[in-house]
Amino acid sequence: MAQLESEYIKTGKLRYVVRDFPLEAIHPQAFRAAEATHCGRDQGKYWEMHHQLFANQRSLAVGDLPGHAQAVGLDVPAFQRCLDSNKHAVRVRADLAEGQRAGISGTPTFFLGAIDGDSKMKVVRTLRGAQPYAAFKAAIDSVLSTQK
Amino acid sequence: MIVILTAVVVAVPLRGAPQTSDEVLKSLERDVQALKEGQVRIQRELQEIKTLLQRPPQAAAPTEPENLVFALADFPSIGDAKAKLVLVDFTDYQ
Repeated sequence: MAQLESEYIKTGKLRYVVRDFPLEAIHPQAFRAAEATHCGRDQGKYWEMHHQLFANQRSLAVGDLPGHAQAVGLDVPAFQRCLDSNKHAVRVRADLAEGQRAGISGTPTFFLGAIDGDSKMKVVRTLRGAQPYAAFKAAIDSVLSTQK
Repeated sequence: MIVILTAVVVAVPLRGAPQTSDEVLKSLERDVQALKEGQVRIQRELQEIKTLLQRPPQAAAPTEPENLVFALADFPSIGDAKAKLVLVDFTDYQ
């Protein structure tokens, strides 16, 4: 990810987008964790929360989430109100539905796409599962070379 | 006269016996050939059925979804909003 960031994202060639695909059947805590990242986003700290939860995949119980919010400097009571309201559940469910429509069966799944018109992208490559940097590099370079 | 008749009666089966078994053999060969051809035809049809049966799951779970388009709405992202390439990461924290 760091290499991807320095090589392609910071150079303006690639935009990286995160969508949620909590596998509720096997990961009962994943849905609330996804909601929690969006509660962090409400306070301008999505990425902080995103990285915090990834780094603590074994302590994602609902009771653990305020502690993570505090660790990244969120206003904890506001965070808790957000989480309790389930205001971001709709967004997470929409991501899940779109992921299912796209044929995702596990995470992570990456879709590399080319911008197509206004705020749309057409998928040109799919990378399933954790992949080494080289796999991303090969996919991105091959698409970039066809765009020139 | 009797001798001639006897000769004919004896001669017919004697001459006829090899002919008959030859015909039976040929007929059997034809039958075997027909069976073989039938088997080949059945195998071909079975293969076609198998191919048909295997097609729906392939269509249901494509590795490269065709014409898959994502709207890029208000999702968390990093990088230039004008970048021509986008990597969408469907993630799960647990």
